[in-house]
Amino acid sequence: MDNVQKLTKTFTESLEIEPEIVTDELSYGSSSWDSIAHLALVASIEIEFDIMLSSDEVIDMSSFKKAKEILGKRGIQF
Amino acid sequence: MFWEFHNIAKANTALIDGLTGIDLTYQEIDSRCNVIATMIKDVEKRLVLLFCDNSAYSIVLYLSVLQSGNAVFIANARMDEKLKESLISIYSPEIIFSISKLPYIHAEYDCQDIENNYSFYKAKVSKGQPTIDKDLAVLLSTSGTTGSPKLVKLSYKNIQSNAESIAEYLKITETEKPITSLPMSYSFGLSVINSHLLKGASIVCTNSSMVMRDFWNLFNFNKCTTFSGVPYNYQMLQRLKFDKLELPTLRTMTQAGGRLSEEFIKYYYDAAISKGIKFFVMYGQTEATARISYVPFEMLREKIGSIGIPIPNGQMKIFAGENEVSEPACEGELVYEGENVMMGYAENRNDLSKEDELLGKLHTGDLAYKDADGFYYITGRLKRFIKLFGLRVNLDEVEKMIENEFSAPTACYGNDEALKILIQSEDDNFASVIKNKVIEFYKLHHSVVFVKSVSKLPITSSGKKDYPLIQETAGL
Repeated sequence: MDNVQKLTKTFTESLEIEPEIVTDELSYGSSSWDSIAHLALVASIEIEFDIMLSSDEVIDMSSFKKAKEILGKRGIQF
Repeated sequence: MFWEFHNIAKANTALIDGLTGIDLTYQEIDSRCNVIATMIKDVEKRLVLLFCDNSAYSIVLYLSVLQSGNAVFIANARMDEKLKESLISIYSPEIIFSISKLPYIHAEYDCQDIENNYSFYKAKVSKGQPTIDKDLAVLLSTSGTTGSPKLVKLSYKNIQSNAESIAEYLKITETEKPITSLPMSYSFGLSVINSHLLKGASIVCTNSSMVMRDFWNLFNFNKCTTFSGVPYNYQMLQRLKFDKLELPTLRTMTQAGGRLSEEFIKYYYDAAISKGIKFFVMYGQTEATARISYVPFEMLREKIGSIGIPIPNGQMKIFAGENEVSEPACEGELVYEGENVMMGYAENRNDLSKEDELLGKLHTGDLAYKDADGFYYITGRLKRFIKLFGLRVNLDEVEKMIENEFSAPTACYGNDEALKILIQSEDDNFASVIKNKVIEFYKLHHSVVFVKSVSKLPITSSGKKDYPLIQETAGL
């Protein structure tokens, strides 16, 4: 599984959505992505990529695209 | 009354809209309210349904209805459309304010676009509705955006007196600046608005979520002083490492809407001490407008786990059966008395004509005791309720819904962290069907709902569901 697939999986599982919906446009507030799902998502990303996200990273993770950028800065390639 | 803005400096900023950045002074909202109140006033008292968000304009509409003397049912605009439709048919409001269009009522209502993308709906014909009681001011749902159409009826006296009590013990002044971290359709969220308007403070209005950067940018940009949340908000705030967050203008934090664990209370107490701010643990019910008790900050360390002492002008009593027990450490039902006790429940339009049925006395359904210093502690619930994310979930109601919908014997139990459901079924896939239904119906996150199928639900010798045995053997 490559990193995009891994990240997509964290989104589909935490937000309970189909993989097709997980695109760069997917952002906080759309579909089931609310504050509760956000924390589940953050926890899932931390486990999947074995990292700890900072508060700034947590509140900046406002879209799928943003998530890739944030993880990219941690050396995770997409 | 706080919606008349007497005795406050009219030049003070009342509302700051986070989205548009527009500030409204008390003078400005008063004149806007006058215009809207005139528009919706009639000879007969009417019911106004307000589908609100946390914009400044939603608050202006709410205050306008109060000024007009009509009753306002405050409902969340994010509510499911089917639920909106059913509430409209059950309560037949003469007027509806909505951010989104409601195409399904266009036959019965005239629609007009007004400011801020709001639509103003007015019933085409008055259907000879039963009159609305003169004291009825506000209607709130007991369950937020979820299922039940059962509403709490609050009087003018209820909302005013609770706002006064809260402002007194939190020592709210016009220098306070809270941010709308909770929906105004939720009693706690509304109480923050009411108690601050009463004192001429400024409210920062936003629909942003506290897990997003915009929220904290607004908080700091506007120099907010006050943050309010339910236990779940405080769990998120800890994840954001609250103790290290730079919030230089924060002075007060308030928590209600369910039990916050002792570990969290300690964390926030320590953080509050080191930041030089105050943290209030509070208790209440929508049936008491919002607030019933609070723990004074200087007593918090010593009284962790307590729901505190009654709010100013309120009284708490413990009843064992019919009799009041005044000695400390005796458990019984917590009964609250005060001017903020609701008029009663409404389940349909006819119920709006009824006068006050509770007369200032509320049986909370919570089991409690008080200690020798007069601090109260909740030990359990008489009725089967849990609170998820601050919203009350009636376990019997969930059971009934599933049994009606799927014709399978069901047992629900749980705590303020999780809803657990046991279904009698031979089909293992059935559990996920039920889970999806419950999540969709009650708008819950899947991580807090647990469902399992069993071949036989444990029952007692008298044929009732054996909840202790169910909990013991379910393995959920």
